[in-house]
Amino acid sequence: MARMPVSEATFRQLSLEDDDTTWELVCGRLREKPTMTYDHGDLTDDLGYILRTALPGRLPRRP
Amino acid sequence: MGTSFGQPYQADYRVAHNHARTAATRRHLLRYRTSLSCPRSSWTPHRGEKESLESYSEPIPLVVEVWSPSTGRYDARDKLDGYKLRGDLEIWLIDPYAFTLVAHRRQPDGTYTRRDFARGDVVEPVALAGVRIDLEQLFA
Repeated sequence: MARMPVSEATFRQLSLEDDDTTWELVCGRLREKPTMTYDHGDLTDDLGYILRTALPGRLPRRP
Repeated sequence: MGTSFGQPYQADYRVAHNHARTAATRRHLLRYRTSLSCPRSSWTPHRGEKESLESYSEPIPLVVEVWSPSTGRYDARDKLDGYKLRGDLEIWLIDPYAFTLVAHRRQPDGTYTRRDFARGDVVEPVALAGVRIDLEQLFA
C-alpha cells in the first residue's frame, strides 16, 4: 500500500490514468483500495440493481 | 443540493456504483461503494469531460458501505466520520456476513442517529421516498 504524500491534482491525474488500481487520497496520502470478496461484490451489485429499479426516473442522456 | 433533510428529491437520481468518489475535504477524497447522488446538475455538466475525475463534494442522500474483511475497520471508522463531516443525509454500513445493516441518519441539528436492522427487516431511506429495501431479499 502506497503511503506517499501527494497533491490533490496528482491524485486526480493518477486516478484517471491508472485504471487497474483504485486510489484514495486520505489526509494527503495515497491509499490503494483493496479488492472485494465474492459476497461483497455480490451484495453491492444486487443493492445497486434494487436501487436503480426502485428510483423514479431514468438517467438523462446527452442529446 | 437545494434539498433539506427529510424532503424527497424531485430530480432524477443516479446510482454511482463502486467508482465515484466523495470529497470530505480538499485533501481527503473517499471512494464509496454504492451511493446515490443528485440532483442531476451535480454531475451532468461534467459529462464528456475527459479530464474530470468523478467526485462529489456536496452532501449525498444515501451512501452505502459494504463491510469487507480487508477494509471493514477503515470503512466503519474513518469513512463514516468523513461522510458525517460532509453532511451526507444517510449512511448505511452493511455486513454481508452478519446479515445486518446499520443506518446513520442526519438530524436537522447536524447530529446523527443510529438504527440497526437485521435480516427480515425492510429499510426505507429517509431521503428517498418510496424506496424500500427488503433485507431478506438482499441477503438471500
